[in-house]
Amino acid sequence: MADMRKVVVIITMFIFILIAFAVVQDGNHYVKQNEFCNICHEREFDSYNTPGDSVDFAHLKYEVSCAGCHEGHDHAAFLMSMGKMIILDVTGGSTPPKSKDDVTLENKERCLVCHDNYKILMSDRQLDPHIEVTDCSSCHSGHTRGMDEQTCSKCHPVEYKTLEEEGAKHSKKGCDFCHPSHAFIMECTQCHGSFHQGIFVECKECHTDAHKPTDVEFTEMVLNKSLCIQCHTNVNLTFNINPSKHANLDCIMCHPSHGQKQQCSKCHKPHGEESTRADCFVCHKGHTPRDVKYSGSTPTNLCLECHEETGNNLLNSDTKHSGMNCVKCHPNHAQIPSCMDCHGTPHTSTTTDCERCHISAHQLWGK
Amino acid sequence: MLEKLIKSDVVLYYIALFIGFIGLTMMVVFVPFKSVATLMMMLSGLGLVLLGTTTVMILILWDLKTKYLDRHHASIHKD
Repeated sequence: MADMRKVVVIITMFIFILIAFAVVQDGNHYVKQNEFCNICHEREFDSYNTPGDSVDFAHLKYEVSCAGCHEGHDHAAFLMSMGKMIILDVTGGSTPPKSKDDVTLENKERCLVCHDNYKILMSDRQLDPHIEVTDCSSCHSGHTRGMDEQTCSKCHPVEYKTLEEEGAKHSKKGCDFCHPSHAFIMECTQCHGSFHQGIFVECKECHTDAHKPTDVEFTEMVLNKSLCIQCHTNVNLTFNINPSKHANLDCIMCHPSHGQKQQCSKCHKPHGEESTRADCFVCHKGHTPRDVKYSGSTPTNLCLECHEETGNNLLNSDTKHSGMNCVKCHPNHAQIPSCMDCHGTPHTSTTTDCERCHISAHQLWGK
Repeated sequence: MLEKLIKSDVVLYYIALFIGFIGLTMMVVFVPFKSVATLMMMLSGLGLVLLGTTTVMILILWDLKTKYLDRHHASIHKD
């Protein structure tokens, strides 16, 4: 009878063992789920699930779970890690247990388990980044978002230099701002919204290189001034207040590409043969060409370029006027002062017609 | 004393069975697992089941020893 009881106990224990191992199998399945990893590794979990955030998401697309790379947690290090985890879980500690597995990006062998064709993948490129690869982490940052720009410049020196020298506001952002993962290009609209109110569908039609965003090549679409003034509203206002022939031209006549300013001599005969646009702009402004303004230190020779005869008369005259700069009597363009402003009424108080005797202020005694 | 107890009844088997039962209960109640703590409770339960099983194994071996080896020795000495 006692032996029979013992047999029943042994059979029951055997059933217990079977059930126990079924439960263990369920536990083993659970620790391979990404949700299990999320208990401690929230940052990595978010990175894994966020599109364009890191190489993690690329693994998600191909259904490679955390355990797909970090299989060490399932083997020798599993119990030790579990022990540390439970202690931290109970004590509320924040220091994560160090993984016993060899999953570091420095360990190229781990990546090569799946990516053994990495050299073939890049062989058709002009510059194969995998030729002298020492470890995958040089470029593939794993969980960490982005990498330093120096790393990008190894393979993309032209883009790096362009961004550094002509990047404008883009140069203040790192490569990873627009390229959070390799070959991923963020949509311009994510930062700039619909800047041109949907008139231009493709940004790159004009902004051909985002690494030099202010270098805009106009297309035929920009022949109409009405498109430009959507952004340059202040210029349009200036044209409306100061009507001139310039106001009737299309912007592209003087600005063949964005930010470029045409030489005035392209249309206008310059004052001097060597006059540059900067010289013109001492007195003239492109958007208000009729409003000529100059400073009190403007040299006479600039005036002579248009007023040659008058100027020569002044310089050759034997009077005190000959030593004076033009701007002394003409502080504004085309303004003719009254002689009496300086000389008062030296003859009689009723004599105001100076030129009856003094021919001209530039040639007081005549020839 | 221990030998007498084992021979007299199956109480040690029942104790091992009870330990295994407690362990199995600990394992089953935490399925499906939700946290590291529940997982560790499952592993603790597994430990108890294995303890109970090991005890039963030892008891079986002890019984076999008593039943055959000791009797065999006793018969030799008698001769």
